[in-house]
Amino acid sequence: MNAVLQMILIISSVLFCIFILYVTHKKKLSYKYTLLWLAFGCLTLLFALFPNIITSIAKSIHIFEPTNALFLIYIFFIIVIIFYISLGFSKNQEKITILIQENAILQSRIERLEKQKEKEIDTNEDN
Amino acid sequence: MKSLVIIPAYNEEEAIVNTINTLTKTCPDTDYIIINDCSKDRTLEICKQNNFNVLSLCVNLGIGGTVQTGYKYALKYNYDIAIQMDADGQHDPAYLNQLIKKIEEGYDLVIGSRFIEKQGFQSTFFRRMGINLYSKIIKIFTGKVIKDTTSGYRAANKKVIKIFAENYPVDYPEPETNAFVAKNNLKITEIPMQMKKRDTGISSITPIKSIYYAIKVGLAVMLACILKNKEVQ
Repeated sequence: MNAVLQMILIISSVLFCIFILYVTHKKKLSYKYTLLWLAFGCLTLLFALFPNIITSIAKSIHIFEPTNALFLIYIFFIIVIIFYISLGFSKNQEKITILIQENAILQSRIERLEKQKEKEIDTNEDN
Repeated sequence: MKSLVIIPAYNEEEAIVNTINTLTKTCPDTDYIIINDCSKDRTLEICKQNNFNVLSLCVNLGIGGTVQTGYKYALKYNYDIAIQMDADGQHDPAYLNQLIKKIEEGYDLVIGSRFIEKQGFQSTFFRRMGINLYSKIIKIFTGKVIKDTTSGYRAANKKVIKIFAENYPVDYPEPETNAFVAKNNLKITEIPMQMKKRDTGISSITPIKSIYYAIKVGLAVMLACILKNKEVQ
C-alpha cells in the first residue's frame, strides 16, 4: 500500500474513533451503537497499520485484488449495521404504537373522570 | 355478556353520525367505541359534538394499530365480546346480534361473510382474487374454510380479545389474524351477511399499493399458518 494512502487511512480512522467517543460522551449516541462503530473504526485502523492482513485475506478467499477483499469486508460490515438498525427501528415502531394506544385510552379515561367530577360538584352545589 | 363494538374511523366525517345512530337504534344495550385514527377532517369534532364515545389517537397508526386500540380497551374494561365494525356504513348493525349469538354458542371468532350466500356488494374483481388466494392458503395449511378472509366485520370472545390486544398486524390485518386463529385451534366460523358498498370516502388502498399489500399479506398469512404460537396454548 502507498505510504500516503496509509497515512490518510490511519489519521482518518483515529479521528473517526475520537469522534465516536465524543458523541457518546455527549450522550448523542447510545453505548449499544458506540461499540459497533468503534469496531468499524478499529478495523480500518488495523488494516491501515498492517496492510498485509488484507493481502493474506484476499489470497485465502481467492480474491485477486486486495482492494476487492477490502470492499467485500466493508460491505459485509455495512449490511450487518443496516440490518441491526432495521431491527432497532422495528422495535421502536412497536414501542411508539403501544405508547400512542395507551395514551389514547388514558386520555379517554381522564375525560370521563373529569365529567364525573364536574357532575359531582354540580350536585353538591345544588344541595 | 358485556359486548363492545369497535369502530375504527379515519376521515369519516360524512358517514360517522349515520353509522352510530343506526347502531344505537338497532342495539341500544351494546357499548361502542369509535377510535379516531388522527383524522384530518372533522371526524373527532363531530363525534364530540354528538357526545359519541370516542377515543382519539394523537398520531396516525393505520388500521391495524387503530383496531388494536379497541381490543386493548375491551380487555382493560373487561368486555366479554368485541365486535369490529367499519365506520363507513358498509356493515349493517342488524347482524350484530347474530354475531354475538354465535360467540355465546362457544365460538372464539365469528366472521361476517359476503361469500356464503353471495348476496349484496361482492367487492371488486381484484380484491376477490386476493380474498380467494388467502382463503386457499388458510385451507391448505390449517384445513379450515374461511371464505371471506378480509371481512372487517367480526366478533371475538375474551380469549381472542386478549390475543389481539397483545399482538395485531399493522396493515390489512384481517387475513393474517384469521389464519392465526385458525392455526391455533380456536373455534372460528362465518355467518352469511350482505354488505353495502361504502357510503362515502374512498378505499384506503390505492392500486399501486395493492400489489405490495397482496404480497405482504400473503406472506404474513403463510407465516401465521406455518408457525404455531406458544403463547396461546
